[in-house]
Amino acid sequence: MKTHSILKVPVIIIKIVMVITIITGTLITFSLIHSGYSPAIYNKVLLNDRGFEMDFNYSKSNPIPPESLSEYTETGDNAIYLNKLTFSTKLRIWLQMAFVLTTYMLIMWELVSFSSSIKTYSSFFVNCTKTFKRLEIYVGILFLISFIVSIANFNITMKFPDGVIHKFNSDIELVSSFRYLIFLFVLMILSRVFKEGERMKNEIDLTI
Amino acid sequence: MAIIVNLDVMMAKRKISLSQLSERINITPANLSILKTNKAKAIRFSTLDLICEALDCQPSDILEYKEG
Repeated sequence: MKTHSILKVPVIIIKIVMVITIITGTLITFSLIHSGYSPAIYNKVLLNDRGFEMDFNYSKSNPIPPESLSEYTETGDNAIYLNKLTFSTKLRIWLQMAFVLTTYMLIMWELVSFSSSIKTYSSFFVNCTKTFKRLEIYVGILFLISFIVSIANFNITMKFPDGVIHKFNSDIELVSSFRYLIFLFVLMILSRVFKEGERMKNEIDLTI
Repeated sequence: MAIIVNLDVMMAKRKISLSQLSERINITPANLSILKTNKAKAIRFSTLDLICEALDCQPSDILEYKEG
């Protein structure tokens, strides 16, 4: 049973995405740590309300970042500055990013190794069951993380020389977390289908 | 499974070895061994036909049903 040549393209794309994910995770980790030691470099690096995305387009915010809490409050600036975040906020952001990116990497790794195992007929059905079980676990973790973050108020704390300010995210995006639940259901159904296929294959193999 | 395959009994009666039988009916010794040791899940009529022809017997000589 040959690997279809059409599978080679998505495998290459996934491998590229995996490399980009590793680089992204490393850069974010470095930025979170480095912003504590050299905050001036990160004056124009902003986060969105949920603390997930970095915005390098400073024209959207004040051209000169506020130096104090009173200045921040007076100008009505709503931006979230990376170099003003407290350690606990940075740690929470990093942990969430680490969990999500690691799970994505594991899912991509499973898909790549599974596609390369579809070369012999006998190994296909054996690897199917194991791969789908692992994928179910990883997607389940993703759903849990997404669900918990969705229902919890994401508290971002910024520290200025003259005080601390808390920003709460009041958006509750439960719907977006359910896409992982739907994916999990699809995986569970596929897993059962392939398990049944494995059983039928064994029966056919033992038909003389 | 309650179906017993008595292939070894018939082979002994006809004094034919596994390899000789496999050559006659063109089935691999491995598959015949699976059949002989009651590990097979199913048997095709065509295979049963070839075995009965080679051993000059009836299907009931090869297959037996034992309850429990």
